[in-house]
Amino acid sequence: MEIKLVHVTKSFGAKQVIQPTSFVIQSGSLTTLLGPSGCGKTTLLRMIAGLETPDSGEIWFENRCVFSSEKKINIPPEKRGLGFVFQDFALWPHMTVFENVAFGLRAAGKTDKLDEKVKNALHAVQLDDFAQRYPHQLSGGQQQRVAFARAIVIEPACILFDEPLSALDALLREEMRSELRTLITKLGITGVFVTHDQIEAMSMSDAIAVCHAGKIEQYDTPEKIYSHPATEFVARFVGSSNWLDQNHLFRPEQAQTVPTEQAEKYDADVTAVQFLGSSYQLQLNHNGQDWTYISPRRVSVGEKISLYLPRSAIVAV
Amino acid sequence: MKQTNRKANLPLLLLAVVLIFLIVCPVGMIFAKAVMQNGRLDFSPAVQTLLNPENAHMIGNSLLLGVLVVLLSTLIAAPLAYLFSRTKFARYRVFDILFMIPFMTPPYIASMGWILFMQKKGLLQQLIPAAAGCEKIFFTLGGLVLVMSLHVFPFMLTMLKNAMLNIPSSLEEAGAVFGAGFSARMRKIFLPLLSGNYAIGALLVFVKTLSEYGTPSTLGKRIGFEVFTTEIHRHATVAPIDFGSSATLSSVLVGICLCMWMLQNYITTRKSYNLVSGKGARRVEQSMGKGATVAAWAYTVLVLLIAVGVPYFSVISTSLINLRGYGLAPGNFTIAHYVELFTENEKGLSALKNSVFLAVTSATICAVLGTLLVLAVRKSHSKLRKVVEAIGLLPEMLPGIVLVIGIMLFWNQIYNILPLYNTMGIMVLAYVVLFLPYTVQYVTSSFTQISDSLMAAGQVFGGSPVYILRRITLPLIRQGIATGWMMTFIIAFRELVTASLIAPPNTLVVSTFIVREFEQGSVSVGMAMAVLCVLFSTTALLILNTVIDHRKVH
Repeated sequence: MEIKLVHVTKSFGAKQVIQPTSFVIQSGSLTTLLGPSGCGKTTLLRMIAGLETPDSGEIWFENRCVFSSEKKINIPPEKRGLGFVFQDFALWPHMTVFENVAFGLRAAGKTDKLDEKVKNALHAVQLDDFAQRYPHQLSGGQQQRVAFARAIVIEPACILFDEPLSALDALLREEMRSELRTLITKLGITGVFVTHDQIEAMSMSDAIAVCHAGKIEQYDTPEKIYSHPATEFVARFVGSSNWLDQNHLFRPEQAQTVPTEQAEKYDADVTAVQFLGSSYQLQLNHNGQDWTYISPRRVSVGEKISLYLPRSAIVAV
Repeated sequence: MKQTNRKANLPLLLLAVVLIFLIVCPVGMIFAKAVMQNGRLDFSPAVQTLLNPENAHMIGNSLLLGVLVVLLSTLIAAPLAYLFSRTKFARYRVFDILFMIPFMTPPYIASMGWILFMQKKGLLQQLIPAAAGCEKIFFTLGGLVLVMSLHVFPFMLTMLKNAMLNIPSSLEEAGAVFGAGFSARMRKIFLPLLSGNYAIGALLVFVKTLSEYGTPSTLGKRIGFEVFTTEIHRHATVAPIDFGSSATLSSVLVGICLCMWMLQNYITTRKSYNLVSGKGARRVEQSMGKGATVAAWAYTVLVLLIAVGVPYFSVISTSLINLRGYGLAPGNFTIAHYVELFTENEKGLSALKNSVFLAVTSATICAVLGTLLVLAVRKSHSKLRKVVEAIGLLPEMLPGIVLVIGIMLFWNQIYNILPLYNTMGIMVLAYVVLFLPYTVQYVTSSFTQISDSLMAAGQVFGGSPVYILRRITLPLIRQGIATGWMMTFIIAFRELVTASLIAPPNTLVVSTFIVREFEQGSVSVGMAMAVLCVLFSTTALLILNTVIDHRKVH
């Protein structure tokens, strides 16, 4: 399902948390809203779900207008037919896993083949034997899966994810990341994903919208966002960047320590060295700019190092 | 190692002995009195008391009253709890204080206010002559239930409000996103999640109602509605005095209360959910239309008018009326009754003095004893600590009147050894026993906010135990002790049931003075004293609040 936001704005009190924003989420893709906390990404997601009401603008699901300040349309969340995975999972503690998952079907009166549908959803997230458990009897990862099963069982046209992995520990987060991505691809769902974790965004998304101070700074594929950041904020927020001057930067892995054709040479002093296991991370100083560089061999602090950079790797913002 | 353990447990052991003497012995004495005759076990008088149809009727009355008060206070409190937790009304913090007023008003004073307001030719009928006959509706079980519910609903409100605040909004939002409308969300998510906390609140209100003496003794008596507390009181004070019946009825009341506590404990462990999750727990206000907002304001103001306005209007205006025969009329107002309290009415002045003396002494002793108890309990690792703590909190679980009966029986029994009975000393002692739990709870809760590592750090940096106590522990729990002291002071200052049972002959305190003037003296003088009593304790409470807020700022 294609989701279209047109000139949407929102203020909390005197603070405008969403500047006029328009963008289109492509059907069948996983789109991520990426940004630091307080950038408005969660507010955007909640406005799509109907949990937050925009001050102005329009929101369209395909040809259906779910919100319009002008036409005074505001479809409540229960009539929008979306799936939602909450940051704190929001599993109802007084219901079993089965009842949690069955909730949406029962609420819509779709009790036909209810048992089968719930079991299929639990099977999809590998929780076949957990139907009669209560949420507090599950681990964090299992709770996360129940939250996902609850969203897919109603076969929504789109599922919204509000930082769904942030409540998990680092190891589990990585595991769930690929699991979620695989499931979404398999089920062919349109997904909107909110996160502040750039690695999560890069690894999972078909498209990323980088949010900053209530605005979308860049909306593109992960590769483009990384290699061609449109603004200074995007360049600084996504990946690490070494700045040549105010407007030019390169990504550390683009540089090499051996000369190549059409590469420019830059000298830098090594100010700190950290051993990372497979490599060494160097802190460099180039004309007063702090750079980082990953080196396969140990370099001592105080040494000089030369980096060779192809001109095509220099990005202007 | 064993030796040092013993040494550390010595203070605890001493405390245990003191508490057993002060609290356990009196309670035990009640049961003994109920089933022992001339040193032999004999159940027949107890059985006889219970089989007496009048008593069976009274027990039925008490239980019925308890159930009705639970129902009505729920009806009053539930909409308010929702308004003040899930809507924009939650921002008006001033109502937190306003809604506590009825609960902080001594029940006997509030019911006197209601009687003055509703009685034949009372204040309501003076204001609105068309209300003639309203007394026939009010002086019934319904009126009693109303007045008691108006006293206790803030308690239910606080319980429900906190429970509602603890339900993360995301649980309701999830319901909305997955297709449940408002009423379905209420039915399937909100109310089931509240049920455990509500059951606990309802049980507490039930126990409070059964233990309450003030309202049944003023309003209940007028309509001939006898309950446990009034019957226990009657058997212990009105000839023919029959302590056996008092003790038997007390035992039954204790039994009921203990059952309720056990039920409450069961529900707490079985039915409460760990709802407060750290990450992403946000609260979203339920939006309200214009109509809903107006209705909500109207309801809030109406509840406050009835619960606070009526009794306070009655008490204050009566205290200012010159000649009650003329009623509310221009020119019929005077402050003479207040002046009288401080000049010609020696009884009033001495009652004030007695109450201040009792409040200060008992609050101070409670602060010392309670703090020692908490410190000793926290220091020790022996099994005894649980016992000591439980005994220290026992008085709060038992109806006050039962404890006082126990103290009367026990100290009568040992009069030859310790002649404390019939002196001010026994009053101080009874107050200390009754109000000890306040200090214990406040000091314990101030301890839970302090990490053990703070004390450990003191040890690591070379502080001796006494030095640590003086420089670290006491400053950190000082506020808990002060709060406990002030609460004890306020409650002790206005305490009715203990004073009416155990005060030495011809010794009046504020509460018994008010009751006496109300029943057989000058109602206006009684009400003047009531106003002073409320003003006095409110001022104390405000000072306490300011001190706490002041501390928080720094």
